[in-house]
Parts: sequence; C-alpha cells; structure tokens
Amino acid sequence: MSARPSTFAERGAAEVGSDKAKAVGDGARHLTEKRAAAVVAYPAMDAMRDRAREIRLHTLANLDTYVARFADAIEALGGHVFFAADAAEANDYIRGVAETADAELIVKVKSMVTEEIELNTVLEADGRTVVESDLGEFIVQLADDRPSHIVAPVLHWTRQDVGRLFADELGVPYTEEPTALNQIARTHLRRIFLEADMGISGVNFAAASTGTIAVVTNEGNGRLTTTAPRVHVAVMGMERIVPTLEDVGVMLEVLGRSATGQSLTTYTNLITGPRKQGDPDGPDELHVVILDSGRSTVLNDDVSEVLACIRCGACLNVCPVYRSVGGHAYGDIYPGPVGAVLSPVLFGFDGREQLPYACTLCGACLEVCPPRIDLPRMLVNLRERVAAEGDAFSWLGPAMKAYEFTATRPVMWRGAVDGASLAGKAKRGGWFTRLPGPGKAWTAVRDLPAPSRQSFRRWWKKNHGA
Amino acid sequence: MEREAFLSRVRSAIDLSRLPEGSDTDPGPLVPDLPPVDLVERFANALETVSGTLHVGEGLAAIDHIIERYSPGPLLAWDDGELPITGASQRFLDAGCGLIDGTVPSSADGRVDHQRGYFDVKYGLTGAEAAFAETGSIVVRSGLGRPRMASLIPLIHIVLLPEDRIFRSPMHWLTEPGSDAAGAANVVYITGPSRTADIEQKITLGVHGPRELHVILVPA
Ligand code: SF4
Repeated sequence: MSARPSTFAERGAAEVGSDKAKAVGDGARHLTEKRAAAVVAYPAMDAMRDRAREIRLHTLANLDTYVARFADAIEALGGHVFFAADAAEANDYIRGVAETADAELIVKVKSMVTEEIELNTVLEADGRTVVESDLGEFIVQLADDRPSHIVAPVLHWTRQDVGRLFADELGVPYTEEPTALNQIARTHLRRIFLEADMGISGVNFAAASTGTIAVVTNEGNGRLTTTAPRVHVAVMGMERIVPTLEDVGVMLEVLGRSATGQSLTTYTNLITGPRKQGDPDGPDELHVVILDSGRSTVLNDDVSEVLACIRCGACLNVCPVYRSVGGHAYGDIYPGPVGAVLSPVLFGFDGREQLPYACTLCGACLEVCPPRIDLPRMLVNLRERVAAEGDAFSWLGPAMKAYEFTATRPVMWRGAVDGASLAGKAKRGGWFTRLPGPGKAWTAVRDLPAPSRQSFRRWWKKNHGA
Repeated sequence: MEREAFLSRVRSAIDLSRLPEGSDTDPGPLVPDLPPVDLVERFANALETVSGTLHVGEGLAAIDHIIERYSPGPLLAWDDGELPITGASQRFLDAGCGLIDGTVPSSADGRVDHQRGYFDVKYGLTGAEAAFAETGSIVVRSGLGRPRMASLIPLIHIVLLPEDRIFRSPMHWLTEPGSDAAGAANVVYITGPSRTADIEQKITLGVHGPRELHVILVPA
C-alpha cells in the first residue's frame, strides 16, 4: 500500500464543520435512533446478539473447515468456486469470467468487498460497462465520488445535490423531490438490469453446510442483479461464512435491527446454487470468489475478533468521531470504529498510524455492536503498537499523549464530549474522574477537564481561529 | 490460488489463544422466546408497518378491487398449479390484463430479448411458502412454474397466502424440519415493498422492485 496523501487529522480537520460532515452526523444520529427503537421492540435481541457472537467466534476458530465445506457445497450445486489469495487474483478471475461470458454490460449490487478490491476499475479498463445499482452507489458512481458510510453511501449528499447531478448527468429536468428522483433511477436502471450480461454481488452471509449465500437489500437491486443476468458472480471475504443456514438466520435477526432499525431488510435473498432444472428464470451460471487478501493475517492478529463483524454500520452511527468528521476522513472504504481497527491490520499501518487515535474510548460502539466486538480494547492495542513502532508517529507518544492529541483538536474534543454525554457519563462543567471499561486506560493517566461546551469552543475559536 | 494452499494458510493463521471464546462445536441457532400473539393480527400490524396491505376475508375479489383501483396492465404470474387456490390468474385476464410468459430462454441473446418484455410489467402474482408475524414478511420460493421475476419486476406484487402458513418469527420457520430453505435455488423473505432511504434518509417506495405489496389471506 502506498502512503496516504494526508493524515486522518488533516483530512478530519478539512471535513469537520462542513455541510457534508454535518449531513453525515445527522444521518448517523437518525440511524442510531432507529436502531434503538428496534432493539427495544424486540425482546430477544440480547440473547440473539450473544448467540451471533458465539457462532461467529466458533466459525473463525474453525474457519478452514467451514471454507472447505462451503466450497464443496457450492460445487455440488453446480457452481464454480475460486480461491483468491489477494485482490489481483480475484480481479483476474472475474475478468476471465466476463471475457468468457462476453459481458459488455455488467450490473452490480453494492458490496464492500468489491470496493475493497477495486473491481470496477479493472473491468472498466477492459472496456466493459459496470453499473452500480444501489441508488446511493449509483449516485456515487455518477458523481465520481466516494461512499461516506458502509450502509448508506450518500449520507453526505443533500436532495438538491442529487437533483442537480441527475439533471446534469442523466439529462432529466431538475427535481429535488425524493420520490421523483427515485423514479428517475428506477427507469434508468431497469433497462440495465434486464439487459446486463453479468451480475456481480457481494455476500452478506454464507452457509457452509448448504452453500447458500444471503444477499440482502432494501431496494430489490440485490435480487435483480442475481436473477436477471445469465451469469452471477458473488464475491466474498472468507469470513462471511457461518456453519449452517439456521446460523445465517441468527445473523439476520441482528443485522437489520442494528443497521437501520428494520426487523428484516426488505429483501433477504437466499441463493442456493444456479438456476435449477425446470426453473423458469434465474442465472444459468454461478461463480463464487472466496477472498483472503489479508484476512488470514488479521485472523492471526491480536484483533482477530474484528473478523466477526457483520458490517451493520451501527458502530459508525454511534461514534462521536465519525459523526464529527464523516466517512471520508478515514481515507479507506471502511470508516468509523470498525474501520479504525480493520484498515490498519488489513491494509497495513503505513499512513494509517493515526486511525487508532480516531476514537475517544467512550465505548459506545461496543454497546451497539451486534456480535459485541470489543473495538475500544482493540484500538488501545493498536495504539500501543503504533507507539512502539516509534518514528512514523514519534510526535505522538504513548497513551498519555492521546489526550493531548484529542484536546488540541476541536474535532476530537467535541467528539469526546458528545460521546461521553451520549453514554450518560459526562459531568458538564465538572471533571471526568473515571471512565468505565476501556476508558480507564485514558483517565488513569490524568483527569480530563470536561469543559462547558460553549465556553470551550468559543475559547478555541478565539485562540486558534478554527 | 490452489484450494489446498489457500486452506492451509487459513489453518496456520488460526490461533486459539487469540480467539479464546471460539468453541469447538457450533452453538447452533436460537429460536427466540417471544410472547404468544394472535398470528394473523400480529402479521397484519407488522405488514402495515412496512407499508404492505393485508386483505382478509375478501378472497379473490381482492384482485378485482386492486385492478379497479390501479387499472389493468401486463401480468407475470406463477402457474395456476403452484398457487394455493385456482382461478386467480383468470381474474386478471377477465379484467383485461395480458399475461406475460415467465420462462426465460437459456441462450444469452434470447434471454435479453425476452426480458426486455418485462419493462412494464404491472402486476405480479405469486403464492407464499410462509409468513412471519413478528416481521410482516412473506417467504417466496422459486421452482418449476414459479418465476422469481413475478415477485420482483412488477409495480404491484399480489401474494396468495394460506392462513395456516403464518409463523411466529423467521427462526420459528427456518428451524422447522419441513422448511427446506436450501432446497430451492432461491428463497426470499420479502418484508414490504421495495424501499430506499438513501436520499436524506427519506423513505420512498418502489425503487427497483414493487411499489405495492398486497397479501391476500386465503383459508387453509
Ligand atoms: S464492528 Fe460491530 S457494530 Fe461495527 S459494523 Fe461490524 S458488526 Fe456492526
């Protein structure tokens, strides 16, 4: 990985206070409220989270067995399996499938892993047209922008922005009415679904025993992408697997509620092999690409549990730092607390030394994470490693300096205060003496003055001209 | 990468000291312990919450009402033999809807030509394998005489649901020995009409899939 063009702090400082970052913050707060309501409404939530955690950790501890079982099941169904060591191998294989299928037009459903391997760029370089079908991703693609959230990619866009984009790029009359914008996208993309030669999807979960893959979407683009084109290519990180389809059911119990506050995402699509004899429709060919690309390194790391992540986005939504700086400041496709842990270990620390510090250790992410991944503990672990590495981050020492780093940056500071009050731990105008759990490491170093919000910010503005 | 090389790299990366909670055996699914409810009532409420409509006690006359309201249009339907009661497609035809062939050719060109005919499908008619009272979902299974597109491409999806197929929650159905959810190439839980909240978190319906979902409850 090449060095980042700028640091998290620089990017964050540029983003904070912008309309874009504010829109992301509002959206994240809204999603947090929706999650909270769904959790209250479902008495089994806690028990399901515990079971989801147990299933995920059991799978990781036996991952080779389950990957092998899953591959056998796919092949028994008549599907093709490709094991990709890295992004290049995955992309080469998919290029080959597209070549054989003579696929000029390819339709895609939003997936983190295909963004990770930058599949679109590779296919486009071969002269193929690749169209993102999720409304948000379609906007991102048309605008040549980047997603700001793993579940809601255009959280940073206003309806006026979308209206102007559609008018400019699609040649339709300007409208900012969401229903009308939606209709424009429907009409435009419908032809593409029906005529595409190949559909590419990610995989939310995969069942090892049956070879079933789950692809969930609200819009129906996941179903269209995996039904209309003759060839379906599913790309998945190897950690998407759980032992059985019933275990997939447990994951679905917690995914929708945590992500958007829905008891189930609108379309929960369970795909078991290509079109069967006698089926009137569905893809004739199924290819499943199972990707390692750094995951075995993560599996062997102190933070291996982060592979239990189900990509619900709840930790982003609740994170005071994410809410302040938005998704782009993180510099990689995985933002927020999970990104701050995953990106350095998956893509390398180089240029990402600050990510573990993009956190106030408020513990809110652990509270909401469905499989209860202890992200704050992992961030402390990564800080220690960054500090031990020395030079690249020499200006920022070990844990104690984390406070200074935070306090000298209004972005982080605001994050810290918001986060603490969110957790109901702030004593406004008083002092934080002890934060529970992971915050201990922080407050053990020195007491942290909790400023009255207004006066501190005014003071900051006056003195630092922020 | 060769399969064995890939798997052995994974195997050697597993360090149980770093995954202390990784049990030896699969803990398996959990069926939620939920308070007992009237299944039809709960399903009706949950379906309404996700912007679907339930028709109780109307029988196939519900189809006439829907077409009266939205006017006739092209229909993509499951074969009569796959639906829980006969005569449903005929209602559409009698009301002036044209039936579209739901069998897609396997050849690449033939397929695209055929699917172009789906652009303006107005009505989709399917059965349902099961429904979930907790979530307001219906379960639709692919197979012979059951085009997937019938629940996906139309503007209005009409579902015939036998009353005795409502389960308490998704896990209650999935863990039933008879559910065989992996037995078809496609099983989908549909929870309301197609929706998006991508633009400013405002929910709008019918982005790629149906804008309306009507569930007609039929006696078992
Ligand atoms: S780390 Fe947890 S909360 Fe964050 S996206 Fe993953 S599963 Fe969701």
